[in-house]
Amino acid sequence: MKRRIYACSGVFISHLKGTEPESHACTDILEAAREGSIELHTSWVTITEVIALDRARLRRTPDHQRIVTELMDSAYIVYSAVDQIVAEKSRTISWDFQIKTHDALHLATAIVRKCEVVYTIDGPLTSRSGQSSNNIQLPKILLPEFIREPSLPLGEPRTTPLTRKPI
Amino acid sequence: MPKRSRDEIDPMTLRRQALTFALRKKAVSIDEFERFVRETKALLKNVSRARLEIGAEWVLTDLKFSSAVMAYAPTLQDRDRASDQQLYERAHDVEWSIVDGIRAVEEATAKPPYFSERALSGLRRLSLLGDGAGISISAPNGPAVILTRSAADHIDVLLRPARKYYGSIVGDLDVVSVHKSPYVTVYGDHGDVVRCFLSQQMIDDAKDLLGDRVVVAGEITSNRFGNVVSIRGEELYEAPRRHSRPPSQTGGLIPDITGDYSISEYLDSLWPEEIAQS
Repeated sequence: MKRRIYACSGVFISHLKGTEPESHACTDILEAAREGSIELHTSWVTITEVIALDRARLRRTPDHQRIVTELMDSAYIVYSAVDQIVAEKSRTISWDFQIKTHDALHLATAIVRKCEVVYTIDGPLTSRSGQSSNNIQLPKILLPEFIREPSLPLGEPRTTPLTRKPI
Repeated sequence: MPKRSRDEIDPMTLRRQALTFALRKKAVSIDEFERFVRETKALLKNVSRARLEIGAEWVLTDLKFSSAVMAYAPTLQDRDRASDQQLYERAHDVEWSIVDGIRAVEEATAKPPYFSERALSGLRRLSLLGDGAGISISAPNGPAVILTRSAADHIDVLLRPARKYYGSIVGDLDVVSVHKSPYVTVYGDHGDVVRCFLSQQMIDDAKDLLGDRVVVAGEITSNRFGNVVSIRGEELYEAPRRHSRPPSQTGGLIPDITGDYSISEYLDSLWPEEIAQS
């Protein structure tokens, strides 16, 4: 059975930004999902968060919208709805752990979908990893990390040694 | 790659891929054996149909009469487009979907992906054929799962409606049934197999959408675990096909997506009314 991984909105945003310390790890997680080595889960709520809003003084261009839509419509992303079970679990998480609603929604979805790890770019949230209350056990919550096995590109074996290009 | 009939596939290769069903009983009557064959065949057909977009035909690779042991291997009918290795992996996916699904039923934790209501009903009948030892099902290189008679009760729970809410299901529309209550079957993008009850007008529309990716919205009935069991559709429309382009094509393309904010500040700004703190 494939590993079930949950990605919060920040993973997709960081991948699109490409400038954050964890951006490449985020891309690696998406690549692993596309290759089929993991099952990548997220909530439909993520679609509403991976956007560009005016309040952040952003330039919203049709190009940006196309890129965002293209990424979020990828067939390797498994979406889950916020149904009654997710909503009630999310409320319990907010009550028991004083976690913000949007984080709680993601954690609740990950729990319902039985994901073994939740990747978030929210450092403080990772301190809640694996915590439990009388009602609920939080999953493992980690910052994005490289999860693919390093491999050589397919094709002819390299016959000449790698050399540093002259600057 | 040229097409190859199943007769040309190496029998040893098929044997290595075989999924084994063992009904271990002191004596298996002809009637029980006939039902055993019928239910295993239906299960293989139903799950492979949900799991694959291509056709699969299962061939019998082994048969032991002492305690009714049958081994089936899938032969996939897509030889002009996929390599042998790809077909082998897909066949393996189907077999593991069956084994994992039966395990999920035994543990009564969730309605297993790729198992339609019809497949679960068939599995229920299959489970009742076994006695105390149950039916052992194993895929190549994996531990066996035992299908016991208690699976029948679990399936009743998995199919029992527990909640209703308004929602939607997205997936491929594959079956239109006009008998009694007309319905279509939608194979969701990630394994949900959902029966969608539609009005006569919508059934007519559905016929034109056979094989297409659709959205059905309406009143969803789910089981106690939150798995969608059925939907009473109020809207039906075509949905665009999803793609699998490499993430590298979008990585770093919007460096200013969060403006002057950090990603955390940006996400917090979307939910400004919150008073709880992480």
